[in-house]
Amino acid sequence: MPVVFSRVEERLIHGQITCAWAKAIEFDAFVIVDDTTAGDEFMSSLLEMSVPIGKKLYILDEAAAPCGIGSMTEKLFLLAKSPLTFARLAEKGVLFDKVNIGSVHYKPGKKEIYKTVCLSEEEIQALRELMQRGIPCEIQKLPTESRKNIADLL
Amino acid sequence: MTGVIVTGHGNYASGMLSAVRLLTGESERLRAVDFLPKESEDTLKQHLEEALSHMRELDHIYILCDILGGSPFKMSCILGRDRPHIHILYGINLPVLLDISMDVAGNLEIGDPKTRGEALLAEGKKHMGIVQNTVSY
Repeated sequence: MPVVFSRVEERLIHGQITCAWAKAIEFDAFVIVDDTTAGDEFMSSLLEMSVPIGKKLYILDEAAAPCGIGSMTEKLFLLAKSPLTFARLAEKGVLFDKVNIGSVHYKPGKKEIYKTVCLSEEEIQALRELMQRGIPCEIQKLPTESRKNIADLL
Repeated sequence: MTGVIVTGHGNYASGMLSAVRLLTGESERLRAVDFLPKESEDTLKQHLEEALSHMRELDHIYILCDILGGSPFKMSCILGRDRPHIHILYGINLPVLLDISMDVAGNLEIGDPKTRGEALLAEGKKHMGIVQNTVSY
């Protein structure tokens, strides 16, 4: 299960992913881990349409993800909406060496820790857990931008 | 009657519309919805809904999106769901917008909206090319 890149991205697949990241990272398939999307046929078909030519897409709910990812042999680009998902995946033994953070917009109960990265207390805790496991967490919107280490912001 | 909403990343949509205004003139039934750096998909969706609310009486609405898979495209598809009078095109260029804006300006009947959509895409493709002979001998 070689996860080559993992990203927290509220919008899952969108312009920055298809135009920039998909070209900067060498991978075969996107894996979206999100219960709502996995249960939404319409949203799933929209995301399927959005996948760049030559790449595949798997949409898994969280319960199916550890086993599903474990059985895949392709190079995977993992996407989830919240750091909470990544913390739970790490706990269940899914291996990834870094978490990249894209956009997570403001909602009540969240605070902006950096430009357009708004996190709840639980999400901040999830990032701390990931870092304790030795998984660095960095904010980087686009491959051409510099990285901001989350450890310096919390 | 037909209405058009252009939507895209940054100021793509308002920029396209500014070019159309210059070339063919203004219309209430041509609207732009920009997706700006600090905005969320929810905000973008609200702005698209607002543009659609000005077009309630129209028979057909074309939403022209900049790229396949971007947030403007995804939010347009969500709003177009189960609304058969909304037609969504993506990857559009200025010739496509100019062509449909002439239908809007002239209150032209578009006929079958799918066929009209295909014709618009063909128009867009026809207007792209590469200049071969810029060297004089």
